[in-house]
Amino acid sequence: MDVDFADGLPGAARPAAAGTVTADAGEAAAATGAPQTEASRVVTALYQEHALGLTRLAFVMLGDRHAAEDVVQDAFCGLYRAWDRLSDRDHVLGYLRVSVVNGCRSAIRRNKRIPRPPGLPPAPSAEADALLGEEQRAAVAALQRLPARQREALVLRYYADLPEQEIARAMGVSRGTVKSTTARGLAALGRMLQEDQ
Amino acid sequence: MNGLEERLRSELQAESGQITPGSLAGLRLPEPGRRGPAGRRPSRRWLPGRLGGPGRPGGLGGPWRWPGWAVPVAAAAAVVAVITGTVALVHTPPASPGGPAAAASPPAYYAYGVPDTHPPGTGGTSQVPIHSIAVRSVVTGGLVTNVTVPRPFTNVVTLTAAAGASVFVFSADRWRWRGGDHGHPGSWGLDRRTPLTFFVLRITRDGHTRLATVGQTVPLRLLNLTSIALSPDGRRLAMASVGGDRTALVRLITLGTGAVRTWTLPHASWQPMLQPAGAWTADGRTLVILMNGTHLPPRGSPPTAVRLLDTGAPGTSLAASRQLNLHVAGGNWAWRGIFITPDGSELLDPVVHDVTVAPQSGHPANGFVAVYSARTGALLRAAGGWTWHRNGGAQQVVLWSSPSGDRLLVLQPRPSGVTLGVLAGGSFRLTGAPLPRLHSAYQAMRNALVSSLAPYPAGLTG
Repeated sequence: MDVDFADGLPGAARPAAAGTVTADAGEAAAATGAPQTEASRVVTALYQEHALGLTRLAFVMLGDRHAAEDVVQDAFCGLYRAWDRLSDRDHVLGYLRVSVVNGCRSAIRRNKRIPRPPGLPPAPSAEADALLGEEQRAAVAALQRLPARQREALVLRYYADLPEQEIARAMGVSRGTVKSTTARGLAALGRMLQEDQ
Repeated sequence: MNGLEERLRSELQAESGQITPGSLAGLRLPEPGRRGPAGRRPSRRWLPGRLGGPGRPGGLGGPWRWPGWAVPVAAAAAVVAVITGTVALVHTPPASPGGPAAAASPPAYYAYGVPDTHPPGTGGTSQVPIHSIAVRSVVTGGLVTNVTVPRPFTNVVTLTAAAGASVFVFSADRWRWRGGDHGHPGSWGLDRRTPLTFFVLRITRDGHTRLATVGQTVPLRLLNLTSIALSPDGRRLAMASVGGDRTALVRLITLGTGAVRTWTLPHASWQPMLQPAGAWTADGRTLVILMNGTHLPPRGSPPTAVRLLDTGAPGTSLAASRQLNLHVAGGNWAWRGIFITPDGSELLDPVVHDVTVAPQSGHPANGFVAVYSARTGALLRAAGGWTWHRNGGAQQVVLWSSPSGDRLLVLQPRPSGVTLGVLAGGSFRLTGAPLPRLHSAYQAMRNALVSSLAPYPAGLTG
């Protein structure tokens, strides 16, 4: 089932009423001594509404909670910095999603530069298994071994439930590329799972 | 949609559930004057706000960070702390009292350490940073919260819970990845500038978490810390460590006052180990210390050697504690987790029956809970038999006991995976809804703990 663009991601909080300033936004501003600008109000409200869903999206892409939170924080800070220059404020969630996907891609690239010791599989260790069980997370584990683009396509399709058009926008590619990347990723995932059995 | 697509969708949904509502730090926006294109990027040093709910200014869940000038000052202070041999920690009120009455109630939650699933490397060992603590409901198996270690800490070292209090205590340190060069792999290393720090985690009745640092000054020798055990009332923390000259050390710290009492035994041939749950009797007086690494006879069934320390008696030597050698026919493989019943009458030792079966052999093995007299060390009975079917390391773990030991809450290896259940009258039954499967959960079981909180599941009391 595809979710309308404005409906956000799984885990998105109930939207705050337009124009309202939440208590946390006020507290944050009070803590920093910063005046409440429209940008800070709106971005903070957006954060409260979408941070959970976006962090979950980044988490299933990266498999690392710290990195996922950093990516999402960066995305919202980027939105805040660009607020005055944003021409289409009706599509800020799309902007955030693109930022998160790009941030995840960068994080994966950075992580690749750090060498893994020989013989160490990029598999979760005992406690991670404990959380979900071996069979229950085999597909997620295999997903983490896919190339970044295929991982993005599969997560946006099967976790975020986005239509191809939105996946294409988030990944910055054509719809045709989304189709082929998703198909290749799914095929590779199936092969990995068969080999792991 | 084919089966693979369905499976991927369902696994991704389950995986994402690890990020729980309310567990995210608040948003920290750049200063208004720096918002333009030339503004600096926000720092990745989100200190400390990774825990608790959003938006408590100045609190651990708050969306603030240290000002830039404070970072080198804090680093310098940490170095000074190392040099002077003590770690100064922020004072907080003592843990909530529980007491023997609370210890009689089954726990509502248990917790275990969750490692970084994709660390850059492990230096060729199985060691990876444990970056968060998962708390689950005993009744439903559902994830209550996943608490990430606050920055700059990256790794949970030890974790304990009071059987009669609504608190967990854990220690954390900081690991750094040191990238390799010239073809050599990198490795994880302990950042000794960041002192080992203790935290108190409270789970409120509405499922929220509260985190605070433990207000104590503790010796830096605790870098050799082996284990910790919180007293049943949650007010005292026992710490086992190994000092110079292979001295076995047990310290007892009163959380509210910082008072420290120490017992030592120089030139010990063993390491003191404390069971994170079940090391104390309900009156908070007797502490069970496992003598890890005790010289074992070359053949036959090796004993599990323990010492029972009366913390109410005067003296500073561990030699004054009472030693018991616990023997069981058929052997006892490797890791032991000695559990004392709250009334102090029995010692529970989860054992693997066939010592000839190594944990990684892949062959089935049998195990049970050996029950000994805490007075004489004699084997009284065997309970909770299980068959270990799969490779990957698993052993039964006792998490909670009724006062007399007739009802136990255990993690038990089952054909479908390691599961949580109640052991009573020699039979094992699962509690409530099935837990997540705990396959290959040796480390998880090592870190598995319980904390007692009302309400507890009906049927567990008797």
